Amino acid sequence: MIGSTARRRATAFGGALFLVAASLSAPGSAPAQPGGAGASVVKQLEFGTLLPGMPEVITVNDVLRRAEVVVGGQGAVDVRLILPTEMVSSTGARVPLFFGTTDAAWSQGPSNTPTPFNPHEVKRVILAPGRPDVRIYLGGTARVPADQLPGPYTATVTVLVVRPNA
Amino acid sequence: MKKLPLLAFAIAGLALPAAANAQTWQNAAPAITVSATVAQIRQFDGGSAVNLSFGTDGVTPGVAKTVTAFQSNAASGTGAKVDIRFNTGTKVTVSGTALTATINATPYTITPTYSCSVANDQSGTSAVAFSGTCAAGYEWLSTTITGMQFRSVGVGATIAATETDTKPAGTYTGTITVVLSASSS
Repeated sequence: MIGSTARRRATAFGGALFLVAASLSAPGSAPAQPGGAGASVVKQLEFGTLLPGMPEVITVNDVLRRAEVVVGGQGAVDVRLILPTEMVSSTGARVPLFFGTTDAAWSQGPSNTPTPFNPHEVKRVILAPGRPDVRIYLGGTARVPADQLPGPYTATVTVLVVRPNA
Repeated sequence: MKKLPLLAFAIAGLALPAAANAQTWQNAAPAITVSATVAQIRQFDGGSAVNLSFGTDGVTPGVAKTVTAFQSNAASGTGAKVDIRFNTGTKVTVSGTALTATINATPYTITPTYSCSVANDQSGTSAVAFSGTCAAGYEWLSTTITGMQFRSVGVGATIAATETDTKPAGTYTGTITVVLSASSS
């Protein structure tokens, strides 16, 4: 419910925020304010082939299958992940998804060792000029029931990058 | 004429602080796609196979002997059984060889007629005989599969009287092969 509300708000305000940001930055009067922040997904969370009855775990250290998001910009931002509870097939069949308290991690730049954090909680990161972008990693667990129908399944994790209240 | 749009932006800009403080979510909301493919399963359950035996009573020469698919009796005989599981359209076919023995350096052959059934378990619950031959098979169409299916394939056999009335005593053996493949649709 919280995630759902947040997404609706983001949609409702997103256009207005974009217009305002453009009008502030155009005159060059905004540098005193923290700059914009953005996130881009550079790697999806890919479980690959799952066997019915066999849970599959992707840790945040699984560089081949974990998701990776790059957060760039300036200043403090809060990163929130809206996590799904299941993957769904085209026919409506569902595979439960679980995200544990250490299934997310972050690092400053791609080469530093990621530090785990709880993906169910907001993660505040500091973006600074001259420092590498922040990387957010996400693993998870798919618990495939023994009677699961075969085929492709997908879900979506929404990444919200939030400017904290002053 | 050109000043009107700028004015609109300015108004929007003035409104920003109130809007931003009341609503802290920014405009960046990319999405991570989570994906997986649940594999098609069509396999035998290891260790579940039971051999077909005509029983400790044996076969009397010149007398027909039948063991049914899910029969289980040490004396009179036991049908062959193997458990299978699948979550997609599956066809099972069965073939069996003749039974052979070499007695006093001479090979002998007994040719049985095999019969096949499928059931919900090895006890033969809700057993259904193949409508045709074992080689023609039995299939579960993919449209009928709603999840993982657990079944048992049973194989029986009949030895006609004429197959044994001229054969010497001895132990005759053969092989039954069960194959799982994709159903026709």
